[in-house]
Amino acid sequence: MNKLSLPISVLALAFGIFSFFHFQSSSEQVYVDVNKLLDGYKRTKIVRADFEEKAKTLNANVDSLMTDWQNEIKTYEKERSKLSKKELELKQQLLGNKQQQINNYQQAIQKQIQEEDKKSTQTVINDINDYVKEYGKKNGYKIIFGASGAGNVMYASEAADLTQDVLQGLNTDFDGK
Amino acid sequence: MKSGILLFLGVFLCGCNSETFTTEKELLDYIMIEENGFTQNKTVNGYDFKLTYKPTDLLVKQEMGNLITDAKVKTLREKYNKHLYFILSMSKNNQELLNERAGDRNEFGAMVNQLAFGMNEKVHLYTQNKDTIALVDFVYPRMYGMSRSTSILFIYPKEENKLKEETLSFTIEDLGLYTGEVKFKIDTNIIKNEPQLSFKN
Repeated sequence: MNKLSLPISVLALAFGIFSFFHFQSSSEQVYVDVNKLLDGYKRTKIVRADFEEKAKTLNANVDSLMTDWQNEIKTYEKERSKLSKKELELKQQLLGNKQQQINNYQQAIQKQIQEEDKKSTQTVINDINDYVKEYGKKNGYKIIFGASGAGNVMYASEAADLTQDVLQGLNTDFDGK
Repeated sequence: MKSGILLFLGVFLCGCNSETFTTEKELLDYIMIEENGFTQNKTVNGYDFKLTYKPTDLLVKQEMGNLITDAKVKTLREKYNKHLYFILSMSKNNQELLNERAGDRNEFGAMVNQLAFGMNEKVHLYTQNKDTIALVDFVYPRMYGMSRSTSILFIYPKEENKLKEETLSFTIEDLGLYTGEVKFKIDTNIIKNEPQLSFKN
């Protein structure tokens, strides 16, 4: 029995030390810079490029309608002296209606562009939120602050800044292992 | 000394085995506890998303009913073990997604269409290496506002080589709710060691 007690106590001590370092949760106050994460995350660039492409197509549609309408105005200006009073009224009404339609379309397109922007930004924010949560759990942090430059973290030492670590992990995760 | 080693081995082997439950309710309760990894919850922009991995035996039990035979259990397990079954529930204020669209006929129609026919283009399952697992089918049962959430069953093939990685990612693209893409990471261990029912009369 005495022979066994020494190795068992050594094992228990080793396990105790291991579990102390392995399972202890860090009570450090740490933070990540959300703006830096948004800028440095690879997916932001991809999502932004997609969005810009979509916005460009949508704006191009509006531009071509506007060009058509401006050409019609020019033609009307040239020909107005030849038109009768009734024809003039009719033409003005037609051009007015067309302008209204283009304005409505432009507003709808602007709304669509804003919605697309909101969706793509939210996608990136979801990814960052998920990863920071996972990182915090994995590394045993009790709390990770998100600094956005709006004064919510006024001062922190460099050691408390996890941004680079998190950004690296986030990008590795996005690239796939 | 020998008995100590045997005891240790016994405990170790029991720990590696999957859990076994005697009733369907016990199993359902177990998979609903988030810490067990079968169910995950997320709230984005006021919308609640819940993803649940449905173990094979729950489907076996559902088809078998109360008349249990060993042969039938074996056949059904073989049948359902070939696929992965996920239930995605989405809600806002404890109501179905369609409820808040009820005021606008066009939006309502578009959402019905999306949920019934378009979810294969919006939901994706892929590995850590970004290898996509192709969707086999999905089922959206209309509940006509009687349910607290919109639930859809997604079925994927069980490909052993894709389960070798630590996690699978289940993503839901934005469905026009401004939630962005919502992602769930699924630990493949829950699929490899899924809980079972004992199927005893």
